[in-house]
Amino acid sequence: MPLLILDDLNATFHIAAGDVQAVRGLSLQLEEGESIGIVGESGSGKSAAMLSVMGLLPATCEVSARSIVFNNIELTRIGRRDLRKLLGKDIGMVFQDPMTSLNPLYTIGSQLTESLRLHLRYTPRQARERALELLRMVEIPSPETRLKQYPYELSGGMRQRVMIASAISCNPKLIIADEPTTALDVTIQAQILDLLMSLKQKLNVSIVLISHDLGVITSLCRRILVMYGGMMVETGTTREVFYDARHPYTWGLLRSRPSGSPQTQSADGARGRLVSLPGAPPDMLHPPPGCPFAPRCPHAMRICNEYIPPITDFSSTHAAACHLVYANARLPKKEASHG
Amino acid sequence: MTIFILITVTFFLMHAVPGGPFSPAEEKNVPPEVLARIASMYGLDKPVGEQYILYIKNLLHGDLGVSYKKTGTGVNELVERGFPVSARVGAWAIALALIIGVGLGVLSAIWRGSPVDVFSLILATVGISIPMFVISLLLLRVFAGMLKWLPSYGLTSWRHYILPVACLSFNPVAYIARQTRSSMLEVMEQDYIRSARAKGLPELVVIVKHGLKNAVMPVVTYLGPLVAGLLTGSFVVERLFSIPGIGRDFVTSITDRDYTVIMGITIFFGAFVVISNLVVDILYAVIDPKVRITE
Ligand SMILES: Nc1ncnc2c1ncn2[C@@H]1O[C@H](COP(=O)(O)OP(=O)(O)O)[C@@H](O)[C@H]1O
Ligand SMILES: [Mg+2]
Repeated sequence: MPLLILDDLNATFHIAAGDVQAVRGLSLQLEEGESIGIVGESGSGKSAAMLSVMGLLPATCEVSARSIVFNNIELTRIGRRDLRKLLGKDIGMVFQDPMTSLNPLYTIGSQLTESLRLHLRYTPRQARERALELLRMVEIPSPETRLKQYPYELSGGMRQRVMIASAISCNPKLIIADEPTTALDVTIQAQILDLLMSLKQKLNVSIVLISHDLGVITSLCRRILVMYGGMMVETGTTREVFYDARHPYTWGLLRSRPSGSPQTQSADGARGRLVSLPGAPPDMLHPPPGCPFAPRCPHAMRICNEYIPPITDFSSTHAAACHLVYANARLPKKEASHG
Repeated sequence: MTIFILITVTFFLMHAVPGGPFSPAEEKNVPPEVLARIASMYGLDKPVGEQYILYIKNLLHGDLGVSYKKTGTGVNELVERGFPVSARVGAWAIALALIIGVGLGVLSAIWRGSPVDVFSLILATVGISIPMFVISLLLLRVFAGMLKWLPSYGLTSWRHYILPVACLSFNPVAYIARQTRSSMLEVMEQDYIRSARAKGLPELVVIVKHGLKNAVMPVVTYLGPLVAGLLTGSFVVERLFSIPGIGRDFVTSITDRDYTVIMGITIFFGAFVVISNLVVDILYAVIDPKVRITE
């Protein structure tokens, strides 16, 4: 049984101007101990997808799914109370901006022990011991001093380490890291990724790593899911995506990187911006009726503008949603299997 | 220093206004010679500069002088008698303003657009735009005059407190509720609130521990002038409800040209403002670790 199953996840923001369809029909499966990277330009719905799993989206966002299963629990059917029992305990989350993700008014120690006291009912003493251990695990020097310090006394990299320590504090089964290195300097980025990598091996925890940077993802994940316009456009193992990409958007992503090999590590990945693709991502208030990438796609056909492409499988792990590779494209309405 | 400037300015301004406590123009049925004798007894015939130096000298010994009009009553005594009364009413008003203001502000922020929010908006608009004496007269008329539920003057039982406290806290409630609402709305959008939720903390803990503590700063800023203003008594409300507080003494002393009382109470107010601002600064430091460091 996979650790996490998303089946046909949709997330729509109802705002004054209309409905922003941030996530449209996303499906994915993640085995225990496995890691997956979600890549896509900013605004493609990566954060919205993961926040909707955790129920952390604002009330203006309507989330629906055929099924969201985590650790054999159907999340679409449990209440907020039961969901909260999982958050911070079985699912830890690391956010993009470490400068703003910690409460400025509380010490590192106080914020680090919150989950422990809540979920594991640790005494203050036990929680402090564990917090020291956690700070050592994330390689923060002189942890005793750090516990008593406030966020403003720590650098961005240090704060992100604290966020990671907080995420792993209750031994979670899953860590969702939403662009954990985007706000950091390139050298610090590499250190944080190394840290995540070593923690993943030590704790045998699954990681969903969100990034707009393929380089960041390849260093940590064996599987990749490419998102565009709120939808999955391609998924596969890192090898499959790098050497056998089928979707023109993925080709674009690979081309826009300084060096298109999975060995390229994150250090130069920061420069591999996806924005070097010509054109702009679709307006999710009025998404195109067909393939979201069609307006920017050099290979777009007439059908691409009219019908959303079904998903074609190439192996048990590799699939893409593109009319170019849909073998049975002329047969109408054949139910595509999901990858 | 601030207080010293306050004393000097008040002293000379007061003496610059024509007329005095024993001017012949006002006391028509007392012979002028008698008035002159009384004036010289209090040292009022001396040049203003000399009077000033004498006053400061006494003040340094903690002596605020004696009242010219309430014969035999020291100003210190007057303050000691009036202040506790004013402070008691004021303290209740502050407590009420804080509890209701912050409560309403938080509720209307987290239930934005709900009936609570609309109610608090109406209350705030009324509270901010209508001056206190109008509200006081209105409440007095309705609850004491028409409905006769509550007494209209004096301070002899707890029921006497209700109307003056309500009048005093009306504007502060409105202001605090608005201020809390807007800063709460801003704070609840912050990333650290999302982090707190991602830990699975109950919503109440997220709102109060992580939200409110960050949102309360502007209210603390407002607390300085509020505390000083309310504890030292309100002229209008004390007059209106015949409360024997320090604010009422002040109004009387001005119409009476009772120099020493005017001076005494002004100095007391000044000192109070300075002290309450100090307390607010300390509160800042207690809440915000960054302020603590820069001090
Ligand atoms: N709070 C919000 N209100 C309205 N629209 C939002 C909100 N948050 C995100 N969106 C929209 O949802 C889409 C997906 O956003 P997001 O998931 O943050 O993208 P990503 O994480 O891939 O950069 C974007 O079009 C964005 O404008
Ligand atoms: Mg994002």
